[in-house]
Amino acid sequence: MLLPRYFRIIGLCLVVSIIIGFIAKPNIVFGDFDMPFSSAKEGIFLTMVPVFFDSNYNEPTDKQEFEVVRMKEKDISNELLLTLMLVGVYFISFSRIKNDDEFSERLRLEAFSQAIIINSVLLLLMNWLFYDRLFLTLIAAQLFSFLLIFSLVFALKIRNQRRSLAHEE
Amino acid sequence: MKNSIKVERARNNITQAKLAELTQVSWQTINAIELGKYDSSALLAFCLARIFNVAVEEIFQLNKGEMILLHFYPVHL
Repeated sequence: MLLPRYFRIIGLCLVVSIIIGFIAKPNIVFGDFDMPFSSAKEGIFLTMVPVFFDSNYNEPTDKQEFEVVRMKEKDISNELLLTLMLVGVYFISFSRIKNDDEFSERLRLEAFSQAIIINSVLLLLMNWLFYDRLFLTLIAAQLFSFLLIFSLVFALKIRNQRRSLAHEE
Repeated sequence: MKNSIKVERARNNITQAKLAELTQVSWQTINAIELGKYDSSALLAFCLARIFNVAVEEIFQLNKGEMILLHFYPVHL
């Protein structure tokens, strides 16, 4: 069920480049971020997309209309970047390692359950420590944090296990 | 679960790397089983028994705690 090993490198490249992008342009998630080769008015990523539960609150009108779904012209550059980020994180998390066998499968399962606990504790702390915009930003980061924590815990487990076991030639 | 893989390896003069190659797992897995850090799957247990040409029970034995637990299970259906 796991992806081949080279998917990990593809995922790492995607995630690292997008994280650099996030640092360079922090408003990528909530702001009107446009890629350099696209502009909000006539960019290549400006297209009609179905928008669900749109309350029309961004438009300068007194008439607030609520519709379940409507077609709207949107710049989808940030959506594309988020999709690539998610795909990258999935590639890192669910690709094979060198010498993948039943022991590494068990380590993977352990890392998965520990990542659930760590992520839940982080979410709980965030709820009480951060407010307003920062809280929303961190909630957006939670989209990827679980899989990133899982990958990190798994990598640490593999590293520790290799160090602790004495190799007998 | 206790095991005597190390003894069997010594008896048959096989290294962890060679045994790992024969069972198609990593040497880390063999090492972890030997050190009691990991209980192998039933398939790998049977595979090891076949390689050493002994019964599975000769390689893998329950420890005291597991033996006590075993008494709580019904003997017959």
